[in-house]
Amino acid sequence: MTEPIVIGLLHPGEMGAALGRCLIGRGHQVLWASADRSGQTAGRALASGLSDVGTVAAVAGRAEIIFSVCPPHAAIDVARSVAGFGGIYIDANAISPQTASQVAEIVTGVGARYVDGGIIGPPPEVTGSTRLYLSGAAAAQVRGLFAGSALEARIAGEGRWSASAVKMAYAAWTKGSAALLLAARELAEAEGVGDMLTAEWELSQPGLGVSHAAASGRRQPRDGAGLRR
Amino acid sequence: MNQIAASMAAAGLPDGFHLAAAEMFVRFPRPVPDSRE
Repeated sequence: MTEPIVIGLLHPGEMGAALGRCLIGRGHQVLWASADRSGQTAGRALASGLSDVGTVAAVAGRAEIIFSVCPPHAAIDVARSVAGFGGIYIDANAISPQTASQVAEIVTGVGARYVDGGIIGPPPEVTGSTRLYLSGAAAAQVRGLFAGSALEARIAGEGRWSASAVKMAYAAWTKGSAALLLAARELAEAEGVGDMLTAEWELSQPGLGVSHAAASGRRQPRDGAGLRR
Repeated sequence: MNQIAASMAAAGLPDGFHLAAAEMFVRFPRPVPDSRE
């Protein structure tokens, strides 16, 4: 195990908070910034054992390593918010290699080292559920932080943006196939044959209805609903 | 989805499928985000 260090987490959503718990479980102190965050986020951070230092500037001033775990559209702004940070900055967001290169340019421009990251799986609670792919010169150092935790850290490859590339390629299938199922279902509903499509899926594409239900958040119709012979 | 589409375009691949997928999720938002994605 690596020596305990001070780590910043921007920001503790469900995934970020779970990542923070993995680090705390390995003996590290994890800081977060409550300024401009919601009460829900504050509650999540408190429950996870994260230490509130108020502002992002305070996190950047005290942490040796900062993880950015936020919605993809916020990745650039979060990177800009750590001006003056001189440690290792890991962007673990679902962003393209091109956006990752922009984030890297921002943080290295102020003196930080950049590590590319991509998370695949649910918020890590149990071993084996979730991987953090890493790439970049300091990737191995970051991987060591999670040794023995529920989050499995892996080196994605030699390329600087390999971690984001793995994440994008993976999500291209999971989200793309979910959208295609959704589109097929909505077409059937628009034409008044939703139940017939469900019945046909049950006959010829076992499991597709379950996949659609997961993709859309809808309940599955009863078995055989709408089946007319 | 837009980040995926941008990745496709940058790799010289068609980005239209994932742009359309993004539009599907805007029109038919899922009640609970799937964190596996």
